[in-house]
Amino acid sequence: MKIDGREIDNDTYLTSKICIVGAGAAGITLARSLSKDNVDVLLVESGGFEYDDSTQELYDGSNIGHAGEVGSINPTKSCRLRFFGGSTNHWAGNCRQLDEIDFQKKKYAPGTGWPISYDDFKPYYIEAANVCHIGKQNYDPKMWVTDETPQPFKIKGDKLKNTLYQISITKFRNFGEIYRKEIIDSKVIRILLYSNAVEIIPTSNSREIEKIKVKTLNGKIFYIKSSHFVIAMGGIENARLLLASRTASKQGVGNDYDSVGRYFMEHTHITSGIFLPINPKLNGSYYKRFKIPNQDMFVKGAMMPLPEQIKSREMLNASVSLNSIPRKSAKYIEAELSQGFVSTRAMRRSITRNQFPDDFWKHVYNIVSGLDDVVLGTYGREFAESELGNMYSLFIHAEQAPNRKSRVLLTDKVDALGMNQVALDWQLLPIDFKTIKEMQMLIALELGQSGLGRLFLPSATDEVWSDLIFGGCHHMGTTRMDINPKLGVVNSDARVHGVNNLWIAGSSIFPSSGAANPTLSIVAFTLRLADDLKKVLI
Amino acid sequence: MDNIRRKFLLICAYFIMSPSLSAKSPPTKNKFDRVKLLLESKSMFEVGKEYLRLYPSEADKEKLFEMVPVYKVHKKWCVEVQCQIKRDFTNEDIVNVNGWILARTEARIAGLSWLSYVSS
Repeated sequence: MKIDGREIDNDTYLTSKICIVGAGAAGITLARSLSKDNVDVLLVESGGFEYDDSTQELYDGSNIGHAGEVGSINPTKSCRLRFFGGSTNHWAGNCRQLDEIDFQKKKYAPGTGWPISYDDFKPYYIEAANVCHIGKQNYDPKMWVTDETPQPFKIKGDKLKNTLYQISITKFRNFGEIYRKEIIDSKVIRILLYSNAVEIIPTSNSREIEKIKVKTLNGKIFYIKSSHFVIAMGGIENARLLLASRTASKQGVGNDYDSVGRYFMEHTHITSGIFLPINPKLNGSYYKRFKIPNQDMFVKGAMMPLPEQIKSREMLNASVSLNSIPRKSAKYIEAELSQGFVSTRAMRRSITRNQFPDDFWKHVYNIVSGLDDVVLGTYGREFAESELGNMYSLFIHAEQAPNRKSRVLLTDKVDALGMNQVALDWQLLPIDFKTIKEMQMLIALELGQSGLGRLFLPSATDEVWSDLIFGGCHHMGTTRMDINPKLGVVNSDARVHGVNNLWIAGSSIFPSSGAANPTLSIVAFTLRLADDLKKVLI
Repeated sequence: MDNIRRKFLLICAYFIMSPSLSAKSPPTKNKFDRVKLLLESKSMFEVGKEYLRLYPSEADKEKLFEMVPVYKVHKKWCVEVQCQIKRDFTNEDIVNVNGWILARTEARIAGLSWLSYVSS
């Protein structure tokens, strides 16, 4: 059943056995799973069934950290979608399990690992694969590669392994569309649209949540009372709501140790380096998206480091795919790595933010002295010949280490509902750069020892590499899981420390990101949470 | 620049792949082709020159000859070089020359060709 929150009278109290806030991948998955056991669910969604600007505007925020997140100036709005289905409405569909090593603590990267074991969690991936419509999970190329598909490189394989991502195809990847009818028709789920949770209100002793305050854009204010609450609003918004809920404590809900909003993680993405095969006919198409013949399935090949390499090199997890590049555009890639071009980007960024650039004269000098590269980097690709050659750029996608200083925080600016907006302060650590460099080296070594070709890595400073790193709208870690309440916001059951009836679903609970895209794991963790909740709800 | 690099790689590949060439090919022809390729390759020189700038202690033809006995151009040598280059990558005995991540052995071959060129 669907309800339009804009039509509810002021100060009404809606009640339910469980209230789930947010109808994205996590919220929809949880509601569906609970409904199968006839649990009464109230699913609260900020938007409607379609996109609208005024609701999306509620995501407006600012970027005060690393500029490379998608959307640069305003990633909190650009990265996400605020209507039924959430960000699955623009999800690319890449699915892959976290690796076993992602669950392990690494001494050289404090805060990594999970408080639950891979084996305990793995079974949930089976059902998650069904929810994401990727069918049987198998990341071994042998399972998919035939004479009709591109072939992985024949590598020696003692440094990197060939693997792949399974891709949820377009018609099945938008949760808002594929599960809409089921949720509307459900006898136990009520979907409450156009309703924005603006505050979680605890009981006087703060040990329980009493109600959630809801506002609509047409000025209605009402409340939801429930015995159990789950916040599933996304990697940034989960933290925002907890921080903004200050009735009982100025620090917000679940924030006794100032952990909410901290440890924000992204996957670091970078296009760096050129692979030049010895054999001009070597085909790298396996490392791009391709269709499996006679199946409703796409996959994208990748190479990933073996666990022993990750440990011995004291790096984090990563994967690399290849993009075929026009042979003549190699010089443009070099130009983009020059100091002159990087200074141009820095100046442009400052101007768009209405800030006077730091090191202004240094940038001016770099631009003037490297004008050729600036022109090439700026305009070169436009005129690059489209001749496709068997040269490949490396697209590395890596795990980011947990970093307390990397965070989401509230600003004084408020949105149309009077709720504080967020600022994103994404920050990287030296190990994040090291991971990328070690990964580049592993690729060079593996392809070299396998007699396949050589790698060209333009010499560049850390500043240049940093400028080239960008995110993928994979917001994680802001309400991280840890058994120690001083180090995490939720316990190993995803329940908020110190609050008996509040759970969190979604990638904000990830204490370690691994290298895999997060959606499949979000769904799997939500199914695990559903199993736990059923034990207390049924 | 990439064409020059490719040529260098092709030369390396030529050495590496030589053992698999037809056994009927006259050995003298193989030898001649290799020398010709080496002498004509600007890329080889460029890499060799830069390698010796980075590792000046190896800028000695006799020393390099000992490390990479190129005068013993025969089938067995090619197999050895092929294996050594792969071993270099396995053992991480690599060098970064002008941005290219190369096996030490192939960089030394390039260094030797540069020294041979400038002293001829």
